[in-house]
Order: sequence, then structure tokens, then C-alpha cells
Amino acid sequence: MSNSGPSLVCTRMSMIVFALVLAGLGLAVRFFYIQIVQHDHYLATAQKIYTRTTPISGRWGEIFDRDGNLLVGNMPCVLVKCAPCNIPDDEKNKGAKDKIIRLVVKYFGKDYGYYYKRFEPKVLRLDHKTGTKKLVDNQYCLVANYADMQVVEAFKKELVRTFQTDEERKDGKTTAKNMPRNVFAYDIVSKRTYPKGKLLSNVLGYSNVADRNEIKPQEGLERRMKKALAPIEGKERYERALGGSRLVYGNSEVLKKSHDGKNVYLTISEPIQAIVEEELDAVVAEWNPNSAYAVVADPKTGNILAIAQRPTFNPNDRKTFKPGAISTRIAMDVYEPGSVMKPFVVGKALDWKYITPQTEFYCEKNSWFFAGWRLSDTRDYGTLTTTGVITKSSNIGTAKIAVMLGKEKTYNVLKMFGFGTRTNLPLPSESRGRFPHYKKWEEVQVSRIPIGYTMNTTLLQITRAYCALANGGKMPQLRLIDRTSNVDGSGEVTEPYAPQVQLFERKEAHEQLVDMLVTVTETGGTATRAAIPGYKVAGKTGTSRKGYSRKGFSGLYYTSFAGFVPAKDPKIVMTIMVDSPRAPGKRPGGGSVAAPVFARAAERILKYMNVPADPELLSKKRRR
Amino acid sequence: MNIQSGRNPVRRQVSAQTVQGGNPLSGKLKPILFIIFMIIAVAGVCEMHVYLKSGISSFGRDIERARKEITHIKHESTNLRNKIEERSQLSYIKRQIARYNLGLKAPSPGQMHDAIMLSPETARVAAANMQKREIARVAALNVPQKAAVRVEQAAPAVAKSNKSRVSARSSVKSSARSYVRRSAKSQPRRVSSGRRMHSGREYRFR
Repeated sequence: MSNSGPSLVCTRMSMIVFALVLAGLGLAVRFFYIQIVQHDHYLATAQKIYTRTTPISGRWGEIFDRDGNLLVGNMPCVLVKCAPCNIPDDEKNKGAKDKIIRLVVKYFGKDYGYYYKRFEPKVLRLDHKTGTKKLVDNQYCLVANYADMQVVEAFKKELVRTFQTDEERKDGKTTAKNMPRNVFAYDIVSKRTYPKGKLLSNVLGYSNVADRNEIKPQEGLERRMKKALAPIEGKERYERALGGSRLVYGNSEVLKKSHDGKNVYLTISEPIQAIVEEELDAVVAEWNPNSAYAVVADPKTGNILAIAQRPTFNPNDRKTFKPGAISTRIAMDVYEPGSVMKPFVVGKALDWKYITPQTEFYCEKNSWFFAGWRLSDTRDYGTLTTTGVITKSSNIGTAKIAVMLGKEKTYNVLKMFGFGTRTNLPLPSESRGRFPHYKKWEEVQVSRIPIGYTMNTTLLQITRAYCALANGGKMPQLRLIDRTSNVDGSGEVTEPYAPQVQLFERKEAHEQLVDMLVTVTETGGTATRAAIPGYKVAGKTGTSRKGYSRKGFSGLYYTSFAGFVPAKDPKIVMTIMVDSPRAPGKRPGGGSVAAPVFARAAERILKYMNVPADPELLSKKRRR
Repeated sequence: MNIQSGRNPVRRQVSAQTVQGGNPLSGKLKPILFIIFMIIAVAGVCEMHVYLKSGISSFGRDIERARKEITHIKHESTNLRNKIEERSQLSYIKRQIARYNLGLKAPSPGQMHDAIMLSPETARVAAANMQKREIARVAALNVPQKAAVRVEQAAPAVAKSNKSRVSARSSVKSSARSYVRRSAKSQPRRVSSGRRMHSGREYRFR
């Protein structure tokens, strides 16, 4: 017999091995193709499945006063959602829906019937493909929007307690075996909060919230400073588990870094703002005006310490959003200022040596015709000195001084003091006022504009001009934003101070003007009710007629007072304007309406700022 | 005739060894033991891998829980800060004053002033020095010595009436912005305004 067996086996073995090697090679080639050649393609496909790209939102910047008191902040709150289809309704869980609804009503308001309807397990939904309505599981119902976190925590605890057995309660467990699963979901959202309520609300403005988390500023500083306050959104990609939750040990990659918004610090002082707003509330209650405004500023730096207006609103309560109350009217509204304008022309006439404090003017006994128009005073004044013109607020005396200066010089004086120019505060829609060029003036306007008629201005421009009078003749620029910083306090950037312009050539003339303004608040002046015991107050009242029509004068006035205290080293400038004060049996005027507000508010502010009183002046009787 | 045809050469070798008188078990067991050892090793490595992975995921869950806790605490802290700000506004404080009938009122003009708070040792030394100066000054003036309680730089109206002194004290106490210095041992003391007591450790507060 021949040896064919072993060679046959060998051949077969060789063929099998060869086939296996070939298969192995084929696999290796395939692996190479998939792992190396097609690597990027399959990696991208796999990443799409097991990774998720999510936006990272930063925090909106907050607004503080100069001392760091929060005026506008972010408040984390909870969006409570329900999936009614997951509320069990079988024999074992009888009454679960009723318990849940009662709990929801207890914590989130509304009534039983409201939630009973919305917690139906099935709802009719339109099928967009077929165009017919189908009964589907009700998987979403909004229970509470922007709910307080503490309220939601209490709700969660009570929900668990409701479904716990007695044993579980005794053991002090925090879970319940019979608790229905996947019924409620809680999303943390953020909303804007205004912890000081209506304080400074017209300047701060308000924001709406869109798409649950997107803040949209609507008015005021929030809108003007949106660029600084808004965060920059980032992007992050992370690995997720099958259910969609984040894999904690998985890789994550920040594709774009997010940045929080900047915090903004104002020059406002919250206590001073509160004092001014209280006094404005008091004058509104007493005189029932159309509106009332007040501004307090530091004359040396131009920092606005308080800025208030009435009517106002509470940004936390939408019911207070009325048409005339939500805008920053103190920057938009213009008015004829009246006698508060007199010191500027008189002051510069003193500075240029046209007049002295003792120069006498004949005040025509309350009736003076100029350019065909009659001008009158409040009383029959005969001869008044320049000081007397300011003390008694004589229209005729002031008009004669302006006529002496001439149109061009009068225009230049008021232009120098900033009238007709915006203050450039970051307030929306600030008005420039109406102050035409002297070449467009009618003949009579040279006698009217210096006494605050036939021209319009805002209270902010008046405040800026009085800061110049209070600051030794140097006019500062008003500031509302003091500094900005990052959320963690780093990167603080102070807003620069603009250079101050010296408006008076002679210091003596400025001092003489201040002395005249002091006499306004002393006996014989028009603003004795602006006097503050222990302090010398320099200021000027203004009472301008409002609303001439075919029927004649409406009987309403713009009443104002502008002043600074203490006169020699002023710490504050305050301007107040009350539009159309009405009180039966009382005659409205700058001295009776606005001046007392100045006195009350300034006294409190000086005490807060710890400005010492002069003991000699303290003994003088105060007359209000 | 080949009587060994069809038989496994390995088995032949084993049989040969057996025939030669060697241990049949060691020959058979070695590969089996090796295989078992490999299985155990691989299983051990896999088990270690699974154990470590589950440990990592457990740590990861703890980290995630801690992160959620931190976020929750941050949110709570933000809400508390907002509540503090709400309760520090003037209108709220005034309501609370009225509600609890605290009887606080605004100070009289000139009543409020800065006071410098000194450390106890500095205050003792300063008081002793001031006493010496006062004694010398009074002696020079020949003024009769009287016990007096004076509020530094108080308004004359406040010092005159008992009522206003009480109200001055109550407003001083309640506002905590200044302190009353009592003259020791019936010596009249008058301190001029704004004078700092002593350099060294001074604490100014408002």
C-alpha cells in the first residue's frame, strides 16, 4: 500500500490554513479600511450619536449703586412642568391625581378645576401629516412659571410625604415607594429681579424674558447698557449616555468659551435716592400734579446721586406698567423753566462788569412794554438793585440786564451753560430742548429767554448748569455710570471724568452771584421755605405759566426750585420740578411747592452725608 | 503493514512516555493548567477593568451630585442676597419701625457726627491724658467742678431739656453712630469737635 493518507491530510490542512489566512488577510484589510481610511467618517457618525452640543449661557450683568447695593439682579427660579399621562389612574393608585392637583393648587395658586382640565391624560392633537386630530398622551403641561425655589423645594417634600406609607414616614425616609414616576420636571431658569421695587425704576428700566431664559431689555439703562450687561454665549460638546444624560467620566470639549456680562455700578446712592423719592411721594400726595421730577448731583464731580420721577412703576409688578409711567420722562420731557434761568444772565453780566450787585434797575411798577409786548412782575417793584432783582425774582429787572447784554451775548451765556445741548447721560431718548440760535429770535425774545420763557429745557440741563454755579464756576459733565467690572469683581474700569470748563472769568463775580442766591432763601426772598436750619442755602425758584390757548391761560404752572447747599462749599445740587400742582385753596408756586421739597430732602441728605451744621445758624428760627 | 497508521502522533508520544514509565498527569495537566490560568488571568483583568470603571462612574455620580448641590447652594445664596437687598431698602425698614413701634426718629440738626472708636488700651490712655488737660484748664479758669454728662458737640436744645437728652440718647443708641463719654470722678469735660483722641489704633465707623 502507498503513503497517500498523510499527504492528503497535509494538503487538506494546507488548504484550510490557506483559506484561514486569506480570510484573516481580508479581515485585516477591512479593518484597516474602516479604522484608518474611513476613521473620520465613522468617528463623526459615532459622535453624532453619543455626543451632544449644548450652548453654555453666561450670567447677565447686574446693576448696583455706588456702594454696591443691588438695584437690578438675576434671580434663579424654577419652571415646573408636568406630564399628566404619567399620573397613574389605576385601582392601586386611586386618588393620586386628586392628591397631586390639591398639592399643586396649594403651592402654585389657581383653582382645582383649572388643573383638573389641564391634567387630562390624553389630549387631541393635530397630526400635521394627515391633517386629522388624534388622541395622544398629554406629555406636557406648564404648572408654574418662575416659581420661587423655596416654594418648589417645599412642594417636592410634601409630594413625597403625600405618597409615603406610615412606615416610611416613621423611618424618616426621603423617598416614597408608591410615588408616581416622571410626573413632574423642574428646570432652573433665571429672571431679572428689582429688589428695591420702584426705586429708580424709570432710570433702570425693565426687561422681558423670551424663550424661558432669554432676557430682552426694553427700557432705561438696561436697554442702553445691553452691550455691557449681556453675556456671550458659548458652546460645549460632551459625551452622553443612552438616555441623553451627560457621561460624567466622558470627554467634554468647550468649542466656544462663554463670558458673563459685566456688572455696572452707578453713581446713584441708594439712601439718597430713597429720601428723594419719599419727598416726591409727599409732594404728589399734597399737590396732585401731572408729574414731578427731582435730581440730586455732586457739583464737584457731576455724579448724579439721585434721579427720581413721578409717576413711576414697580418693575416686579406688571400691573403697575401704565403708559405715562414706564418711560424715562425726566430725560424726555421739556418745559419752560421760568425764573430758575435768571442767575445765568445776571451772573455773567456781573462777570463782564456790566453791572455790580448794587446797580439799580427801575422795575416799571409791574408793567414794562418791550418790542410791543408787556412784561410784568409778581408785585409792583420800583427800583431794585441787582441783588434785589434776584431776591425778588423780578422779570423786568432781569430782562433789562439781558437787553443791556444784547441778543448775541445773552445767547452765548446760555449756550455756555449747556442749554440746548444734551447731557449725554445713558438714558434713552434724551431731549435736547428748544433753544434757537439768536439770529432766529424775535425782537421780544431777548427779554423772555433769560427769564425762562420761549425756550424749552430738561431738568437735567438745569442741574448741570447749577452744578457750574455750585462748583466755583466750573461746569462738570453729569455722570450716571461710575464703573463696570466682571462678575467676580475683577477687571474694574472706571468711567472717565470729562474735563471741567471754567465759565466765570472773575472769582469775585461768582461769589457775588452765590451771595445773591443765598438771599433768595432768606427773609424777603421768594424761597424762604427752602431754608434749612444750620445751613446756608443758595437757590432760585421758578414758576412758569403753562398752556396758553385760544381760551387764554390754563391756570396751571411748572413750579421748580434749583439750589445747592451749603452755599460756600456745596455738597449737593438739587433741582425739583412739579408739573401742574393743584390743591384747593392753595396757590401753587416754586416757593410753595418745590422749595419745601428741597428743604426737607436736602436736610435729610445732609444728615446722611454727615455735613456738619453751623451752630450759629442753627439758632435761627426755621420757617417752612 | 503499518500497525500505527491512523493514530495521532501526539497520542503516540504520550503513550510512548507512558510506556517509558513517566507521570501521565503532569503531561496532561500542564496545558490544561496553563489554559485555566490564562482564563483566570483574563477574567481577573476584565473584572478589574469592570470594577475600576464602576468605581469611576460611582465617583462621577458623586461628583455630579456634589456639582448639583453646589449649584443649588449658589442659587439659594443668590436668592438670599436678593432677599437681604429687599429688606435693606428704606421703605421696608420704615414699615418695620412702624410695625414694631420702635419710636425711632430723625436726629436734630447738628446732632449727628462721626465718632472715632478706639481700642480699650488707647481709650484708657487718651482718657487719662484728657483728664489731666481738663484739670489743668479748669484750674486755670477757676470754674467750679460739677459732674456732667455731655454729648460731644450736642445742640444746645438737646443739652437743656431732659426729654431731648433722653431722645438724644435713644437716637444715639439706636443709630449707634456716636457714643456718650461720661466724665469720670465728677470732672467737667469738654471735648472740641473733630479732635482725634489718639493716634495708634483708631477705628472709625459710621
